Amino acid sequence: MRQRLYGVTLGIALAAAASAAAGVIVTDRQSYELPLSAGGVLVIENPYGNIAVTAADEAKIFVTADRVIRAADNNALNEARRTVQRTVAGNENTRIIRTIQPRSFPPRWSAQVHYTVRMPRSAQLNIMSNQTEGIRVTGLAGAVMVKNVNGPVVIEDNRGTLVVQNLNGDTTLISPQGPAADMAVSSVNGSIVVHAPIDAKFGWDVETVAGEARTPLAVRGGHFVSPTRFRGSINAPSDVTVLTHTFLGNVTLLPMGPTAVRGPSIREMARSIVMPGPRVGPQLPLNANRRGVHLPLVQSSYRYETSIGDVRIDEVRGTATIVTGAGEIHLGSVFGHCDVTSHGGPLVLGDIKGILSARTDGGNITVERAGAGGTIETGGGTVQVQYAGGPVQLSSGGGDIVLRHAAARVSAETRSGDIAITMAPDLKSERVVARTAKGNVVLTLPAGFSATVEAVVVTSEPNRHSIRSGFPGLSIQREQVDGKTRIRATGKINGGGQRVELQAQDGGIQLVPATVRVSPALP
Amino acid sequence: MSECHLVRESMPLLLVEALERGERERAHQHIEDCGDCSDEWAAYRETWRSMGDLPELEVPVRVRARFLDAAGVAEPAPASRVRNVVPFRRRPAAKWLAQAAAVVVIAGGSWFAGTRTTVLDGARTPATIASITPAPYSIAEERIIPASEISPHIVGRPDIQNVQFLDPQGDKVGLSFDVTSRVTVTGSPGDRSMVRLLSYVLENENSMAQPRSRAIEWVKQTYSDPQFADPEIAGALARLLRSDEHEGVRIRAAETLKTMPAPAASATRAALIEALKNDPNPAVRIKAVEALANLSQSGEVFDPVTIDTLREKAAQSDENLYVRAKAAEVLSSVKLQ
Repeated sequence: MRQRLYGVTLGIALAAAASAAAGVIVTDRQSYELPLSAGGVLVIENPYGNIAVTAADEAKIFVTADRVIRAADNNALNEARRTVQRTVAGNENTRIIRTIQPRSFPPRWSAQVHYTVRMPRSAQLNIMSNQTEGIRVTGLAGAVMVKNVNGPVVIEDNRGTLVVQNLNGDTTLISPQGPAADMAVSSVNGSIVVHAPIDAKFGWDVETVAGEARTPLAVRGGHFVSPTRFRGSINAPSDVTVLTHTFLGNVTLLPMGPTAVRGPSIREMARSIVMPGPRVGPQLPLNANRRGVHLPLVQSSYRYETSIGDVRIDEVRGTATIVTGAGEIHLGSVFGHCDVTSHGGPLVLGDIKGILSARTDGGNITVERAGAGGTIETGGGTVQVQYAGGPVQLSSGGGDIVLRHAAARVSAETRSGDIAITMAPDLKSERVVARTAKGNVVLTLPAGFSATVEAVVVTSEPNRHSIRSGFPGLSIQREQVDGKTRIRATGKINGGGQRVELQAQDGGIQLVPATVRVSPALP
Repeated sequence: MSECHLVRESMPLLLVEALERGERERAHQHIEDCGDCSDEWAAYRETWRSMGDLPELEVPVRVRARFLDAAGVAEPAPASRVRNVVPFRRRPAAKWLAQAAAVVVIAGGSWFAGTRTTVLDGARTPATIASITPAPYSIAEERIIPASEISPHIVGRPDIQNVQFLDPQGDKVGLSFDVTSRVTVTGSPGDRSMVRLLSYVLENENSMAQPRSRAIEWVKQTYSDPQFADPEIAGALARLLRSDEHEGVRIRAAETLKTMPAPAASATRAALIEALKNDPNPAVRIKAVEALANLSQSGEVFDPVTIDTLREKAAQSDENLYVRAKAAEVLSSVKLQ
């Protein structure tokens, strides 16, 4: 390997020791050039600092690395110089420029390294960074990959394939001649802006969950491949695709040059786009107010929908209909019917006087009082209801179900979890169904409760799982089914009444009189 | 020795019904005939009855050690040498055992106090630790105890099973058995023994008399207080989060880890990440990502693996939207330095 390294450590102190309180700020500059073939790969790993890369028409890289150290005193400065190292490795096919430094800085100093690099135009470039005030890549024709956590990234006039993953920072693509190869920019919290000629032709794959996607360019055809993801063509179909995905940020596709027009949002455009199927389309609400809503009092009925955001309302003096794509819903009291849906997030509901319909795709549901009963469902999570005044149906895709006071019929089902139901003390008879595919069922009944009981336990550990009853009148049968023991208790308690069906797999069942302790396991 | 003296000496044994039948009948006969002994017996029974209403408290280690030392009785052998199974199960003899132990300790304490005739010196002396007294009782799977360290009186009706008679070794014989007794341990939530015991029972489903999710709820209420937050409890919860097949338990475990202060919970980050990546239950993933959010807000520095997992979750289109949003929220405030 032919290597020419020169200009090592100019050691320029740009500012030093302004005062003891301000500490020391020192910049050490290192410059060098190394051969890199036109089809080679340059890797830059720089956790903290800026990176500027431009194209050169030579088979070399020209590197300037400025190490900026902020230290409390000279001892700390020396420690920082020893700890933060700028290294270069590899050969003329692959060069790896790496800043070596600790994962966290001590309190007495911090350091950044700013790189300015010129590299062969057609070589590949990989950049890895955590924190930057700016990463800018200009004029490359080779493939570029940038992975960054915080800080802006600008890619300008890039002709090769591009992959940018910028977690929290904004990303700007400037393509004066239009995209020539596939480009993929993804972010979580950052926004994405693409500048292209107004007549550029390319496919556009855009997704934002909580932000807006807009363009004044002509969108030809296209469809939503998921509720938040749109795929269409700009001007005309093309083999080149620009993929712009972000979760909380916005996506904007703009023509080159200054423009004040942001164009319509994709969500709005979707209304006039023919959908390929009935279930494919922007199913999430158009409103994307990620801060949600917090109201102390709504005097009448209330309806609110958002694709993301928490909803917190202390009192609704009418009916309430709430939908959030992702977020918590807290309602204090609702005078009328209450219909709440979250596609993910916990529901915390207070005093619901009307019929309740509460659904979440995942998350716990807590209800203080379901005065008229209703339906409460979670895709996964615990369901806790303090009081149900009407018939209630509870289900969980996995998690415990607890109903502390049921004044009417109950149906409870969970895929995995314990079910504990306590019937109101003044109930004489009521229908109860409780099924768990993995867990225990505990049903507490008033001492005088009449029921016709069928309780079934299916278990591979019959010594651990059993049916216990504080009520006389049940007869027990045991049988082997598919290698498991099936214990079935049937009979009438207090002379018989409405059906009580209890099922537990790999768990036990207890029928507990409200004031009497549970008897030992039935034989 | 007079008849009265003999009867009064045997009254503690009479109380716990440990006297031989013949002796018991003779003692009762004497009590009926002797007014003084009848009064004494009535006082014993009243004391016994009132002790049954008292809370069962553990004798302080130092008091017990001093008492045994003064009585010339050695401490029990260390747990590493013992060999009998002692599972937890409620037994009706529990209160009798505790009452009998209380009688022994009170009587012994009175005797010990009576034997101290020297005047206490109130002068200050520098505090030094001469030695560390090992805990007098350890909960062990096996235990070997010399007969000289066991009271000759069997209190109540302990459930003794699987008795084996060991071959004589010199002049010593041995008897091995399983005994089931009810043990109540009280102490501060921060006591090492309490923390270790809770960690153990949390991870042993068979030991629970009630659903484990309820036990975790109890742990949450106790150990979410920063003064009692303990990495060992957090570790036990993390193991439940990783391995318990009961989804309700995993949800509670993640929920409890979420409420734990950062110093205790930070060691469980790997378990939270694993749950976020792999748990099939969305509520577990929600709680896991919320716990990670709490860690992030408390200034925890995340490693690249954690950041990458959060990024993947935020971008995973088929993931629960709330999990995605929370992952994005954590990333937006992630501390890199």
